[in-house]
Amino acid sequence: MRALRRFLNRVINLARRREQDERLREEIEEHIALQATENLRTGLSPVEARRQAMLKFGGVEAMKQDYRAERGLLFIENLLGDLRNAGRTIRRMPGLAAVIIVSLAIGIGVNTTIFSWIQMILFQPLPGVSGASNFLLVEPRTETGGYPGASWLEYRALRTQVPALRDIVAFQVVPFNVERQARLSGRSGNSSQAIIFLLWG
Amino acid sequence: MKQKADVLQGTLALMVLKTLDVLGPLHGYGIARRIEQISGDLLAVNQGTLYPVLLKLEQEGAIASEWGASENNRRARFYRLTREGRKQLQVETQDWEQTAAIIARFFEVKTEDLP
Repeated sequence: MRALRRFLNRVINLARRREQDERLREEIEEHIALQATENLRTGLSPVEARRQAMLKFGGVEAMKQDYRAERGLLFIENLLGDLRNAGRTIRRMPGLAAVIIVSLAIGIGVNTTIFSWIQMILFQPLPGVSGASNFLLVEPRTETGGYPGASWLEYRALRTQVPALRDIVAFQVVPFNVERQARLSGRSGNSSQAIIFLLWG
Repeated sequence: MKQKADVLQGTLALMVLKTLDVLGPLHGYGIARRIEQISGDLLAVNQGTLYPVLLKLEQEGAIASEWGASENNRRARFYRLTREGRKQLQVETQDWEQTAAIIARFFEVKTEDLP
């Protein structure tokens, strides 16, 4: 519970850094002033009294570091500081910054394009199709080179009697027309192509 | 080195709580003076180390702070013990006494006392 509260306070303090720095500065100043007054009473000169008070207080910068580490989330504070610094540098040298940003953008763009292409062509040739090399075309040919086609019975026999083939799909060539905005073009395709068109939209 | 600092910070926190419990609201310098008077040289060189400890206690809710006027008639931050801090002080006092008692017993034991 205590740790949670401490963490929440640290997050809140991120937004109140300047105010908190000011508070610490004031506290240190007051502390040293009070100690110096005390030293004056013991008969020291004002300069010596203040010097002794500062010595007694110890290293202010080292203490501030500890204080900041305790107050907030140092990692985020440093990150914000770096971002601010980067912003300032960009504003100071906009030309150089533009060249760097454009080079990075081109580099990232080209890389993304090439790797997407490789991914598409080499690793995933068609969406939904794995192992395109397993596809076979079974087609009866006559001795003279004609395509007599296969009968329904032949198709059924292949389906049931060739266990090496996991599945068989038959297709039939059907002439059909594709019409788009009153422009006609004759096409002869097959019905499975028609289905693929439908699937691909 | 770090370990020593941790121990020191732990005891310092307990001293702060006890000081505020006994004396009521105080500013940083007042707390430092009081600890110095009682503990001798713990804070003799680095009074500044008190402030991170005060902040830690405040972040944990054991103490609260607000601006007030110091003896110099200047703005100073006054720290006071919260109810939670009082509870924490009780628990830590018990823990500390227990630890101290155990360590003391270890120091007291001589070889001839052992069976």
